[in-house]
Amino acid sequence: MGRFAARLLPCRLLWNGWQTIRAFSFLCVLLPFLSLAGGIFSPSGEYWGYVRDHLLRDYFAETILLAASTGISTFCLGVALAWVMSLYDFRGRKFFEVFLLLPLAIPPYIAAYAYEGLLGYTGMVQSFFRNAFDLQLGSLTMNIPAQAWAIWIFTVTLFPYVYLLTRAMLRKQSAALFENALLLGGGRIRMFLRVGLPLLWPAAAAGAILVCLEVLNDFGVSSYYGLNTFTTAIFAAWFGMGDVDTAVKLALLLLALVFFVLLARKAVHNARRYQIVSSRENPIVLRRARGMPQAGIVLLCAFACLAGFAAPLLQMLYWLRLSWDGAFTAELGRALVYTLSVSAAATLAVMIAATGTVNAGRLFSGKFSVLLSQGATLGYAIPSAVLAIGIISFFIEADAVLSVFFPLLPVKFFSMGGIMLIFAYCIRFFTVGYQMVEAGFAKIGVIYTEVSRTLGRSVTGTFFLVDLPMIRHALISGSALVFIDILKELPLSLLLRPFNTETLGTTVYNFAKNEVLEETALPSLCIILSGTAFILLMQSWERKKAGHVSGN
Amino acid sequence: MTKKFSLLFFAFLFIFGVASVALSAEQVVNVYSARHYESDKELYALFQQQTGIGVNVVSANAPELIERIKRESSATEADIFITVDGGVLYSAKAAGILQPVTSPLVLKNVPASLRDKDNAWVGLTTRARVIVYAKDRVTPKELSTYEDLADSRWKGRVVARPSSSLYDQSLLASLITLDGEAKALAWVKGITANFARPPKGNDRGQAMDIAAGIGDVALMNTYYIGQMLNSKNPEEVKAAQNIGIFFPNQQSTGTHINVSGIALTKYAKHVDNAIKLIEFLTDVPAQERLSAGNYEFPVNVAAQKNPLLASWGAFKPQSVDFSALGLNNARAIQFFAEGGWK
Repeated sequence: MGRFAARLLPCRLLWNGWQTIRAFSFLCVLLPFLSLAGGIFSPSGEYWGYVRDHLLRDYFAETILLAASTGISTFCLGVALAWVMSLYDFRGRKFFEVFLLLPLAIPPYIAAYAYEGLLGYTGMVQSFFRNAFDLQLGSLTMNIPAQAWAIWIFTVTLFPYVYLLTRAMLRKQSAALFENALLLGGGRIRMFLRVGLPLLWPAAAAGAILVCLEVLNDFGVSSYYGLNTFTTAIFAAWFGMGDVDTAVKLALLLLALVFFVLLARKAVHNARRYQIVSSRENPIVLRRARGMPQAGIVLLCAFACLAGFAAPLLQMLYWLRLSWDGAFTAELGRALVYTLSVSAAATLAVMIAATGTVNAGRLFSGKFSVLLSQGATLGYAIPSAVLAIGIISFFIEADAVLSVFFPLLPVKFFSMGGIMLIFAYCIRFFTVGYQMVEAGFAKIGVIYTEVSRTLGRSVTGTFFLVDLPMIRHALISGSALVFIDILKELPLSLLLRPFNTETLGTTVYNFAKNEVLEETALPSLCIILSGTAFILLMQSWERKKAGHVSGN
Repeated sequence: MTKKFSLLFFAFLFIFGVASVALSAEQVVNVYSARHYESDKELYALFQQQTGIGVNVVSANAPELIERIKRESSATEADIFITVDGGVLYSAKAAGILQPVTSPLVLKNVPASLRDKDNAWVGLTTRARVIVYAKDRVTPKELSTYEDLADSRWKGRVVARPSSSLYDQSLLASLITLDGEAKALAWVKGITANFARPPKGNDRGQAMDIAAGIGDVALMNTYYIGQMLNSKNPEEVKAAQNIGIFFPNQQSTGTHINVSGIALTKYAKHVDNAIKLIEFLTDVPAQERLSAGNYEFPVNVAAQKNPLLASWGAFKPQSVDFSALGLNNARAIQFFAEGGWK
C-alpha cells in the first residue's frame, strides 16, 4: 500500500487519528512481549542445552511439516472449491454455497475428539463391523501416524479460510477476463493455470498463511495426538520442566519462523499484484456442468462438507444421545452466555482496531509504517500460553497502579474481570480481522480513494463515504471469522478466564481431559451451532447486499 | 442493516457487562484446581450447603496454575490449590506458594505417608498405575513387574500413550528412585522396543487398543477402569470387561501410586474458610463420596472404598516419597526422549 501513500496525504503530514489507532494496536501487541523480554537475556538453564542438542531439530521438523502440509492441502482444497463454485453451475450448488463455510464452526480440537469417537474402537464404524460381521478394523488405522491425523483434522476444518478469501477475490473479477482467455484457446484447465491461478494466488496464499498461523498456535490437537511441535514444546518446557528461559527461547524461535512466513507473503503479494477494476455489469456467467464433470464437482464439494462439518456434527449428536441425561445444567447456560458476550465484545474491538490499522497503512509509507502494521499482526503468532502469562504479569501491575489512582474501583478491576481475557483475544485475533480488511482494501485498490481526495474530501471523510461502503463485505466476513475464532479459542480461555466462569471451549476441554468424550457433546454442539448460526446470518446478509447492488 | 448489526453487538456487550458483575457471597473460599471431576463440584456444593461458604473455582492445568499463583504473588485470589500429582505438589511447594496446614483434624484424617513432611500439602485421594491386559491372550501368571514389560517376550505387545503424560513421567520418576538411573533408562529403551504401535491416545485409548487386539498389555490408572465399566457408551463397557487388572511389583517394590493433594496458598486471604474446606474434604463422608463417584482410593483410612476398588483387594503400594516424583521429573522427560518413547 505504501507506494501510493504520497498521493493520498499532504506530504508533510506524519500523524493523524488513523495513525493513533494503529500505534495503539501496535503497543497492545507489544505489551506481552515487553513483560516477557527479561527472559531473553537471562542465562539459559541446563535444560536449554539439552533441548538445543537433542530436540530442537525434531521441533522444527514436526512444526514445519505440520504447518506446510496443512498450508498446501488447504490451499489445494480451498482453491479447487472456490474455482468450481465461482465458475460452474451444478446440482446442489446453492446447498454447497451455504455448507462449504460451515467447517469454520468446528474447532479443530473438537473435530479431533469427534473423529476419535467416530473411527476409534468404540466408535460407530468399528463397532458396526465388529458387531455385525465380527471384523476387527482396529489394525487398519493403527499404522496411520498421528501427524497424518492432525493434518487431516486441520485440513478439513481450516480449508474455508482459503476458500473464503479466494471466492471473494474471484467474485470481483470480470467475466471478460475468462471469456477472452477461452477465446484465445487452450481450454479450461489451461485457463485456470494461466489466468485463474496468477489472479487468485495472493488471496489464496493469504488464506493459507492464516491456516499456517492457526496450526503453529494450535495446542488442542497437537497435545491430543502427542505431537512435538513448538507449542507443545513450549508448554512442556514452561509447565513441565518449569524452565521459563527455555520456553521463551522456543517461543522466540517460533516467532522468527512466523515472521519469515509473513515477510515472504508480503513480498509475494507486492511482486504480483494484478489490479483489475471490475465493472459490476459484467459478472462471471456460470457454466453448466453435466455428466462426469458435474459428478466430480459434486463429489468434491460433498467430501469437503461431510469431512469438515457433517461427520463431526453427527458424532456429537450421537454422543448427545448417550449423555442426554444430566447434560443440561445451569453451568452450561452460564458458559454459553459468557462465551457469546465476550466473543462479541472482543470482535467489535478487533474490527475497529484492524480497520484503523489497515487504513493507516494505506496513508503512511516508509519502513516505520510497515513496521507498525506488521508488528501489530504478530499477536497471532504468539503462543497462547506465552501470551497469557505475559498479559497476566502486565495486568497485575496495571491493577496495582490503578488502585493507587482510583481507590474506588473494585480491587483487581482488570485481572479479575473479563477485560484481561478480551484483551488477550484481541491481540490474538487482530491478524484475522486485519487480513480480511487488508484483502478488502486490496480489491478496491486506491483509485476511488484518490479520486475522492482529488475532489477535496478529507482522509477521514473519504474513508466513511467512499472506502467503508466498498469494504463492507470484507468487514462482515472479517467480523464473522473473528467471532467464530474466539468462540473456538481454547488455551487463552483456559488461562485467563475469571473466577467461576467457564467458556464453552474450556468446558469441552475439561470433559475431554477427563476422558469422558461423550460428555463433550452438548457444549461442543453449542459452539458448533452458535458458529453455524453466525455464518448463516452473515451469508444471508451478504446475499441480500449483493442482490441490492445488482438490482441497482 | 449496519445499524441492526451494531445494535446486536452492543446488546451483547451489555449482557456481558451485566454478567460480569458477579454476585459474590459474603463468605467465600477461592480454589485453583487442576482436578476437573463432577464429584468435586458436587462436594463444593454440599460444602456451601453445610457451611454457607461459597466455593469459587478456577480450573486449569496444574503447572499453569502454579505459574499464575507465582506471578500473582501476594495479590493472588487463590486460597486453596488442588492438583493430581505428587511431583506437581512438590514443585508447588518448591515454588514457595504454599503454607503448612496445621489443623489437627486434617492431620488426623490424612496419614503421614500421604502428606508432605512439612504439611505443605495433604493427600485427598490416591490412584494406582496398574498393568491392564487382554483377558483372552494374557494370563496374570505371565505378569510380574513394570520392569518385566521391557523384556523381549513382550515385543510388539505393549501399547502406550505419548510420554508427555504426567502419569508415565511420575511412574518413571519412581523407577529412577527405586532402580537407579541406568536401569530406568534401560527400561525405557526396552519397553519402547516392545511397542505394538507408536505411542498415542489417552489411558482409555490404551484399554480400547487392547480390546481391539492391537496390543496385549498397557499401563493404566485405576479410576479410568472404574469409569469405563460404568460408561454411558455400551461399547466402552464391553471393552473394559475384556481387560484384566494386575497390580505389579507385589513381591518387590510395590505398585506405583500417585496422590491427589490439597494445599493452602501462602497468601491465602480466607484462611479459616480454606481450612474448613480441607477438613471437610478429608473427612469420612466426603472421602467416601470421592471414592464412590470417581473410583479413587480415599486417603482417610476410616472411609469405605468404592465396592469395585474393594473387590480388587488390598495391594502393596510403592513407598517412594512423593517429592521424588517432582525431583526426578526432568530426568524422566530426558530419559523418555533419549529412549525413543515419543
